[in-house]
Amino acid sequence: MSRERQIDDDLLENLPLPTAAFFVLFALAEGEKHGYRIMQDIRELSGGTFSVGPATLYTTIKKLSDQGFIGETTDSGEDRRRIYALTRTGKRLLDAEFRRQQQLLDLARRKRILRIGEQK
Amino acid sequence: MNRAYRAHCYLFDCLLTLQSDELFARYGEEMRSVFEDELSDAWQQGTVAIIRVWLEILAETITLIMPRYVARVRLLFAASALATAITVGSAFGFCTLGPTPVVHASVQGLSSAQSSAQLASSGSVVPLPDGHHMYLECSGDPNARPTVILANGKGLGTADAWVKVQQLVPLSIRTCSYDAIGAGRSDHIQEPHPELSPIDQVVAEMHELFEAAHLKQPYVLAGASAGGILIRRYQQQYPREVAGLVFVDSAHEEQVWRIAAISKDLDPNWNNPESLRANGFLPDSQKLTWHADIPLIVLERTEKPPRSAFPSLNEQQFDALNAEWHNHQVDLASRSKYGQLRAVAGAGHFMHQQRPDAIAEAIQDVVRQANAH
Repeated sequence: MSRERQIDDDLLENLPLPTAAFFVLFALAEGEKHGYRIMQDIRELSGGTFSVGPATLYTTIKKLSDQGFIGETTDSGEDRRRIYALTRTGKRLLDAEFRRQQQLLDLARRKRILRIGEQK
Repeated sequence: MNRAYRAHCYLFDCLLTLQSDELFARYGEEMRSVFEDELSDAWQQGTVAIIRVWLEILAETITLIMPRYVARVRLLFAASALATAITVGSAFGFCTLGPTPVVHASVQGLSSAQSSAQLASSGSVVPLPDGHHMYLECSGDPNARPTVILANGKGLGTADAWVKVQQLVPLSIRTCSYDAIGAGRSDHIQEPHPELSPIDQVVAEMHELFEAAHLKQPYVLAGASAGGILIRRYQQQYPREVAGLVFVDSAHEEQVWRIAAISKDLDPNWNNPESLRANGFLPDSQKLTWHADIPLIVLERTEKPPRSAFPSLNEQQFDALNAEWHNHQVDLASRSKYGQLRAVAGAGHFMHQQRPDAIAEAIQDVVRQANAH
C-alpha cells in the first residue's frame, strides 16, 4: 500500500487534472478509441455539461501524449485514423485523480457539507 | 449539399491554419476528419446542431489563439506608448530659448554685442616683439600674485566675453583678459580665422603678450570650451609659469574621436588631421596623457543643450553625447591630485554669461590654493 503511495507521488504534481485532460483519460479508461469517438464519449460522460471541439481535443491529446499518459497506434484497418489508449502511467494518473476526488467527497461528508449518499 | 458541405470544410481549414504550427503538423488531418464527422452528424440533426458545432469551434479557436495575439498587440501598444512619451517628453523637456550652443567651436563676436558693462580697469594695446599688437585689459592690484588670466584665442575671443566674470573677481586679485589675434581690438592678420589658427601658435602669442605686458608670474589660467584645451596646452608648454587652472565647460582633446563614434554627422572635420592638429584635438583612439598636480577646478554645465540643436541625432545618440561630455569633465578633474569637479546650476555651455559668479568663485579658490603652496 505504501509502495503504491510512493510511486504515485511523482504524479501528484499533475493533479488536479484540467477538465479536458480528465475526460480524455476517463474516456480512454473504457478502452482504446479514435478521436471522434473520444469527443462523443466526453459529452456523454460529462452528462452533456462538457464538450470539446477538435482543436481543444487534439491539444489535450498532444499534451497527454507528450507526457506519456496516452499512446497511439495507427489502425491498419480503417482509413489511417489514429487510435489512442491509456498507458500504464496514464491509468495510474487517472486512479490518483479519482482518489483525490474521493478524498474531497469524504471530507465534505464528514464535515456535513455534502449530503450525497445520505438519507434525506 | 455537397457544395455547402465543402464550403464548411473550407472554412474550417481556414481556422485550422490559425492554430500552432506543431499542432497543425501532427494532428491537422485528424482534426479535419473529426470536423467532417461532426458536421455530418450535425447535418442530419438540423441547422441548430450545425450552428452549435460552429459556435463551439469559434469559441475554442478564440480561446486557444487569443493569448498569442494579445501578447503581440500588447507589445505593439507598449512600443507605441513609449514612442509617444519620448516624442512628447522631448517636445516639452527641451524648450529653452536662446542661442544655439556649440560643442567645441569658438564663439566670436557674440559677447561684444551683448555686453555693455564697463570695466573699472585699464585697457591698452600692447606691442609684441614680432610687431603685432594685442589689446589687454587688467583689473585689480597690479602687485598681486598669481595673475589670473582669462584666456582667449580658442573658445572665446575677446576680453568683453569675460567682462561679467572679471567684474566679480575682487580687486585684491589681479585679473587680465585680452583680445586674441584676429579678434576685437587686437591686430587682424592675413591669416585664417582665429578658430583655425594652429593652437601652438595661439599659445605662443599668449606667451609673448604676457611677457610684453610684464604680467607677474605665476599665472592662473581660465579657459572656456575649446579654451580649456588652450590653457592646458599652455601649462604643458610653460609649466613653471602656471600655478592653477580653471576649466569652464571645457572641451577635451579626445572628444572628436569619441563623439565621432556616436555620430559622424556632428563635425565635418572629425577626420581632418589638419583641423584636429590646429585645435589640439587628438586623432582616433589617442588618449590624453597629460597630468599636472596643481590646483585645478573643472566647472561643468548642468543644463543640457536643446534637442533641436542636434537634429541629426536620434534620442540615444543625443543622450550618449551628453554622457560623453560629462565623462570628459570628470576626466579633466582627475588630471590633478588637487582637481575638483563642480557642477554649476543654471548654467549651460555659455557659463561665462549665465553663471559668471560661479567662475569668479572658482578663480578665487584656485588663487587661494595656489598661494597656499
